[in-house]
Order: sequence, then C-alpha cells, then structure tokens
Amino acid sequence: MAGRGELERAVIDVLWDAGAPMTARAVADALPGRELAVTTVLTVLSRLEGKGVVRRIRDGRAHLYAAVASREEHTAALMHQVLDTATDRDAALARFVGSVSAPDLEALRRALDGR
Amino acid sequence: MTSLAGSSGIPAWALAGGLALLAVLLTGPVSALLARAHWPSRSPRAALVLWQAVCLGAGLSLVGAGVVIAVEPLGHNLATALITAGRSLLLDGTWPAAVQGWRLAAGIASAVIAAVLFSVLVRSAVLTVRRRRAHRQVLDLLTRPSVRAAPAGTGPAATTHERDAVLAGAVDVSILDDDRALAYTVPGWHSRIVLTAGLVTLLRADELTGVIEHERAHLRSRHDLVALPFQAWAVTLGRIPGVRAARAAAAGLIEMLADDAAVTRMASAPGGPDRRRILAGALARVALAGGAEVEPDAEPAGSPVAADHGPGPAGPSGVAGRVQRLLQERPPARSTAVLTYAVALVLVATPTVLLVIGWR
Repeated sequence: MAGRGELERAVIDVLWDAGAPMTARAVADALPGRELAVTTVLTVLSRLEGKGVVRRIRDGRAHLYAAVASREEHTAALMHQVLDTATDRDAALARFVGSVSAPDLEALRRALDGR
Repeated sequence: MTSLAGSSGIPAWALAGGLALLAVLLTGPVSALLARAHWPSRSPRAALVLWQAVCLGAGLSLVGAGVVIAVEPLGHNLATALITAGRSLLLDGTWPAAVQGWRLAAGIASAVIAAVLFSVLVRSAVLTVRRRRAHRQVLDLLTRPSVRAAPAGTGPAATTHERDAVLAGAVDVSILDDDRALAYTVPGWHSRIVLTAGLVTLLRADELTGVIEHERAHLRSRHDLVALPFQAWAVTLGRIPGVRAARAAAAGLIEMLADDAAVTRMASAPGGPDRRRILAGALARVALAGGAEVEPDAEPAGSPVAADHGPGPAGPSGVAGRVQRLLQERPPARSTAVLTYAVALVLVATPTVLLVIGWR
C-alpha cells in the first residue's frame, strides 16, 4: 500500500522543502533513505505534473522540476474549495458546519453559555 | 385510432390541465409550506423522502401534461398512444398526422423539459466527480492517514493524549495542517474524511469522536447522492422558488440525519455528559470558532429557508437549529413519519397512475 501515494508524497515533499527548481537526479538524491532510479523519479514527477502540482522547466538540454505552489498555498486552495461550496455552485464536498448566519451565532453563544 | 374504447375516464384536456396544476402547486405553495414546517426536524428521513416525492411528482406532472396534449388523438392512455406513434414512425416512416401545430409544440416542450432536467443532473454529477478527484489528489499529497501523531495540542497533556488516541483509531481520517476549524468529507468511491489541525486542537476527544462519526455517517449512507439532484437543479433552475427551498431543506435534513447517526455511534463514558450534548457542543464550538465564514446578516443567510423564518432564533436546518434540536431531544414522531411516507407515495403515484389509466 505504501507504493504510489507514498512515493508521490516523498517526491513533492522534496520539491516543497527545496523551494527551487531541481533536476530529477537531484530529487532522487534528496529522497531520504531510498535508492531510486532516476527513471522512477521521472515517472513520479510526470504523474505529479499531470495532477497540476509540479511544472517542468526547460533549462538548456536538461529539465528542471518545481512545485507549482507551496504547501501552504495548496492548503489554502483546498480550504477555499471547501468554503466555496456554501455558495451556489454544485457542492462537491460536505462540511460539518455550513455557513453561519448572525442570528445563528447569537443563538449558539446562548446555547454554549447555558451548559 | 378512433374513439371507440374510451367511454369512461377523464377528458384529455382535464387530465393535462390537472397535471400542470399539480406541477405548479408542488413547486409553489406546497414547497413553501414544507420549507416552513417544523415537524421535519423530528422526522428528517421521512421529510427528505417527501421532498424527493415533491420534486419527482412535479417533474412527472409537468412533462406528463405536455405529452398528454401531444399524443391525445393517438390513443386512450400513454401506452397505447405512444405505441401508435412508434408504429407510425418506425413501420410507416411517417409522422403521425394528428400530432401537428400546438400539439406538436406541447410535445416538444415536454421533451425539452425532460432533457434539461436529465442533462443538468448528468452534467452536475460529472463536474462533481471531477472536482472531488482534483481536490483529493492534492489532499493526498498534503496529508497522510491519521495514524501519524495529531498536531501538538495546547490543552493539558491528558486531553491531548486522549485526542491522539481517538485519531490513532481513526485510520479513515486525514488531518490537514490549517488553523481554521473545519471538518468535511470528500464523498465518492475513494472517500476521505478531513479534519483541520485547528479543529483537532479546538475540540475534546469525545467531541472529536462525534464529528468523525457525523462525517462517517455521510459517507456510509452516501448522502452526497441524495443531495446531488437537489443541488444540480437548484444551480440551474434556481429561479423557481420551490427548487431553491427543496435544496436548502434537503441539505439541512441530511445534516440532521448524520447528527442522529453520530449520536447513536458515539462512545460515551457512563456518568459523563449525554452524547447529544457532546455533539451539540462540538457543533456550537466549531461554528463559533468561525471555521466557516460568517455571513453578514444583511444577506439572506445562504439558505432561503433560514431567511423565510424571519426574526425567529434561526432556521431549523441551520447550525443553531441543529444544536437546539440535539439539546431538546424530542422522541421521533412515528405517526407523522408514516403519514409522510404515505403522502410521498401518493404524490409520485398520482401522475403515474393517471397517465396509465388514460383519458376519454
């Protein structure tokens, strides 16, 4: 089970921590505790590219890979998607607490105080 | 096809008119009344079924009315008329001569309405699946299953330890590193339950269990599939008041169902606080922590149902309504539920049976 997803996380973690474009070889070398072939890393990188989280930069004859956005930016984007479902778009995600109105807040404060 | 058979039955014009009237009543006053009613919070499952019946009944009646007008001269009920039309088209290769002019227009209108209702549903389903997949792909890169240690808590060591124990047992839960207090699910085949670090540090262990069980109930019962048609039609046909009311009401009822399921599954220490109170507390705290953005009170609070309630405490399906409902603990209204299921059946059966019996 610790195959594909785990590997993708390890590779993107390297790029996120580096914060700068890297070659596939540099990524392979930076992977902690693993001896991975560069071709394997390339496969993972292209999958990540397909998911839109990694972009490829041509640098002379080599290719450099960089994270499209930081961890924090991706987290913020996910949060935005979650909160966005309160509006009129088709809700793809289900939230524990939806949008809260002002009278709702007032009633909740009273309910909590009463405990 | 001449009128030999139908000596009894309803005149075709009355049937078509009746069906159209039923459709208008269901999308208008019936939806408005149902949205304002208070009993649904005591029988959320029955109320949800009734909303489904109202929508299905309205759609069937509206489409049926146009079809009756179009094919009336071809037979004395829907089956015979459509068979006649099909025979004429397929065997003779000619358009049935009786279906012309305004009859043809009514038929086309019916077909367009049916096609729109169906295609909107399909489009919404496809978009939803795509959006969920994109979300999940990034999510899986940012989180790992919650077997990893929970984020360091600020509370006393004991509560942090209890929370860690809850999360260590919940392998289906992912923790996202964000300060806001949010819990949500990504439904579907590869479903995910996501809690933010902010929510984990905000809640006690027993409250956390309540939130996780609430989300599990959504996934287990595929509430996303129940909500999908309501959402799909509300996005496209939101101008029709009944459609918006149905979406808002269905969303609230689904949350109540998940709340109830969570309460039955939560573990509770003997002598400790009641499970309903625990979940109510969790809801209130998450809402007050402002994990969800607060809407300015000038705006009609997202759901038209809540707005309809005027100056009352809040709509029954809003967060405050859910908290109140959990704290009140009224027994489920069984007789209301049975009656509701019966009404739902009648709503769907009426247009269907009328079309099968046919016209004079």
